[in-house]
Amino acid sequence: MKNLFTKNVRSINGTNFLWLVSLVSVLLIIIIPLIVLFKFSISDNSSLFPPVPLWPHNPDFSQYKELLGSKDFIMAAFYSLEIALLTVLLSLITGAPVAYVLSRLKIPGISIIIFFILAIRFFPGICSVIPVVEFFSNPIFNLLPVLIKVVLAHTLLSLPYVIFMCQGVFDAIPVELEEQALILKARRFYTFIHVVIPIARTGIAAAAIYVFLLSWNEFIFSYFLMFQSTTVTLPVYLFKKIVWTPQLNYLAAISVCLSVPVILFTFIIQKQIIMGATEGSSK
Amino acid sequence: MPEVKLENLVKVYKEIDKDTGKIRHNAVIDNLDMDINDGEFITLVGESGCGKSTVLRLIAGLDEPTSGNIYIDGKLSNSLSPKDRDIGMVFQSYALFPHMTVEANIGFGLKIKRVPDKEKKEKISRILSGLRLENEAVKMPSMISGGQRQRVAVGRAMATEPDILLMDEPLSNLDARLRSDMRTEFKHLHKDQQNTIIYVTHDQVEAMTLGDRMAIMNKGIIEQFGTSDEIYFHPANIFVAGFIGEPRMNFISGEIINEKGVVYFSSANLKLGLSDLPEKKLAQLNDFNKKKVIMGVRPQDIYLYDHRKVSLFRQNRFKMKIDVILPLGPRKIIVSRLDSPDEVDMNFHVELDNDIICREDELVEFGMDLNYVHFFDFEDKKAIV
Amino acid sequence: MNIYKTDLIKKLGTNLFLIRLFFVKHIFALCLILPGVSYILFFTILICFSLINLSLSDQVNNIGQFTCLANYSAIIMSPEFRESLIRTIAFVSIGIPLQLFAGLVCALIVNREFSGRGIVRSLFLIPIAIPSLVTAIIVSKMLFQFPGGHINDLLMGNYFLPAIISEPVNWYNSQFFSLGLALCAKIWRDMPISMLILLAGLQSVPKDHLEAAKTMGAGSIRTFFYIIVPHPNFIVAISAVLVLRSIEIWKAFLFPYVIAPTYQVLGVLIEYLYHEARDPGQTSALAVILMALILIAKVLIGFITGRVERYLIKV
Repeated sequence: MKNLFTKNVRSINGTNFLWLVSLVSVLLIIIIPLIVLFKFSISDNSSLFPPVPLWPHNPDFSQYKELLGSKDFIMAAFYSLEIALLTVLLSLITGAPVAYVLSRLKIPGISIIIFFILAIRFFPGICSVIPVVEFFSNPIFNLLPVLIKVVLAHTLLSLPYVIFMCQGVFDAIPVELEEQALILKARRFYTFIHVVIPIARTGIAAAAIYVFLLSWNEFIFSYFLMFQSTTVTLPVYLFKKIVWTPQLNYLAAISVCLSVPVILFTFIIQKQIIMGATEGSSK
Repeated sequence: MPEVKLENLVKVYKEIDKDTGKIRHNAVIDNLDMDINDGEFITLVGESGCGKSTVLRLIAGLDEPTSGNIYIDGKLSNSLSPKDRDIGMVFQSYALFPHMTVEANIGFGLKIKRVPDKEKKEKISRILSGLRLENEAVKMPSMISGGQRQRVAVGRAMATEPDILLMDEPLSNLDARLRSDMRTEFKHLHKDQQNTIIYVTHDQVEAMTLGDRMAIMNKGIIEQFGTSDEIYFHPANIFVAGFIGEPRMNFISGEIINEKGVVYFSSANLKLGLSDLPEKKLAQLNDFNKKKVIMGVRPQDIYLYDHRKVSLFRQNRFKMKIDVILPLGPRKIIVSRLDSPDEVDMNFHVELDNDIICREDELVEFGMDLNYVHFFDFEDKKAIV
Repeated sequence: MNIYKTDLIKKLGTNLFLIRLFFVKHIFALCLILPGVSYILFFTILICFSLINLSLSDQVNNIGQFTCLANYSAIIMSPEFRESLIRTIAFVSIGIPLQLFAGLVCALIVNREFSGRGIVRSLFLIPIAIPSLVTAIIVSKMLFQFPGGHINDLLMGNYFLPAIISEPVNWYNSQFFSLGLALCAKIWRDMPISMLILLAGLQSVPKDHLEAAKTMGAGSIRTFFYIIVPHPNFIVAISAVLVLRSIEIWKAFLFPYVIAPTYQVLGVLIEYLYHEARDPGQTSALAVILMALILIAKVLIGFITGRVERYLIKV
């Protein structure tokens, strides 16, 4: 107790003051844009013209109502949802087994595989998008629905993340569990399904959310692949809206709808986000 | 017919050297032979990294030997999958499936064996009551105590009634009290079931108390394989002698000298007449005349000379200054310093009853019973029998 | 010679045998790994191959004809390329220190123990949760709109501050302002990632080093500069931020595209060449050039940080 007290007395000095000031200013820098966004989304039309008031004259939720009534928006939202879910499914089905093998099998040369998995992330999206789009517009693959093309592209983007996150999850499961199952005469596949997967469930779920967010936010590939398409994902829908009708409160409302699920999920899987962000930093 | 027979077993791991980046071959097990009889309780003991767990993993089939043969029940089983061997295993970490209840854990092997439901239930409840786990049946492994988890792991290994039960340091995660309880329990279990048990531990007390026979391993080879009495009283070499016994056996290096027909052991610290030894041993030591040997004597076999009532030969006595005294309740350990620099261990331990009076820094006279003194060849460190 | 030959054949034979054994033994593993790895490998190779292929051929008139380096020379000669290259280099060289600074400030704030630290860290993560496009919209359409926009209004004294300017600023007529805004938006959104990497670096500096410094009477600022900054773990974190984030800024597309479309950086120029000029050949050539630039920058930064590291270890 005494210790705490002396600490507090000593704490009023230059560095602590600096620290407090920077904490508050960084928090403001982070929060103000969000408040502004929200403010615009509940503004009535009269509050959009300069001088723009700090708080709308007659705040209402009419923009959201209009959005939910708009067929285009609902279509785009569902399209985004569909693509994100399919991406999650596809990338987990292909990525989780790879992660499992990388985590369990210490064979020489496996680092080469890891290198190639990493390499794809160093291509700038804007560069790698062109070959992918050209590939999908060749006569055979052009017949695929746009939805599938986008899902395939998003899977490509998210696979490295799935593999690295799931590898972390599988690394945390002791090998002894599988060896024990093997000794109890279980087959490898049975062990994978009944022992490994149930234990890895939460970690894999987090990876799934991460992929969902990645696909939900993805713009460049969706934009290039859906350049001429009428049904688009939410980010592309939003982008097209900027180009055509910058009705700010409507734009803000779409933005909020796009961001809210992301913010919620981000808080749920904070730990994994941190893992994903710092992943590769030691390489 | 031996139940498990290991023949010239070698296991080499490839490692990448951190300094040079080259692949290095590390022989964890180096030409190991072992015969284990049906129904025997065998303990494997050694320091960490000596390859004892690897032996277990090879018998279990979790690893494949680099060369050599493993026979289980007379059948060559080098590359047989674990699921085709009739074994059970208890891991050091218990390896309980965290997502299954205690009941489901124990029943896992039965479920895979497709044992009918009714029979399975009966068996599980029999095991649960045998291990005093009835109240824990539907709990998750994370909700029960360490000792209970340990029992669940044993129960799960026993549920399929394997012929061979492998245990990899099963008690090392428990506290001292529980450990001694479980030791007794393992002994009971083996008496009831009469299956072959191979038990790996780093704790010499566990190894000695549990095993019908024990094997002492060092750097991939078996230094000695025998009953605990054989190993304690007739250690085959310096390693075994130093490994078993607490405090460690004292080693003093010196020479055998034959002065006018009387054989002496002479070192910088003491000179010991050996004419008291049995004829046969004396003759053998005589061969080492003028050669370097190492004498080993357990701290328990040394006494303060004044307190021994039986009269002894003069030559068995030697003087030493007491450095420190470590009291241990009923006993106490006296530590003296040997002054010659080429000793294995500079500290010389003597264990005495606590009621014997002596003080630190006092010069006292010790005596020892030559029947319990061991001699080792200085060159190959083997015992001179 | 002959002995050598038979030896070689024997060796090859055992190797082949081992390879076969390996496949038989790990067939389960191979089945698991095959779909995912081949998918990635296929696209990696496809991207490399087709970028080079497209960039070496005419894609406008005689489609598919091999033109050697014509696309490259056309790109390098064009004034657009030179302008946007200069812009991109400026973008990167201002962006990297800013990025590092922002991440470091946040990491130092959160590195301290205080009540509510968990919440503050979660709040600091918010920017990556906002889709880039939304961030770009907030910056360009709400805060820095012309006319109107909160910042213009603020500067004109419409809120609580006195007026500094009398006419609203058109941010988008100025190369400096529009690219600066794009950069700020980019840094705002990527800040948490730099923060997390640096935070990990800060926390990997052993506590007893810091406590030892404290017992010797060093204040927090001196501890930071003398103990934390030269610590190898922290330098690793810094070089990670420099390398990873600089790649990100080179790659920047969305923010400049939305906020400063008139002042193209290389990423935006790629989009323009593809969608407006409709020349996949030149686009690919530019993409290859961009990737080469990134690679050079990466090697350069790696070289410099390696030098600094070695220097600091010597000291």
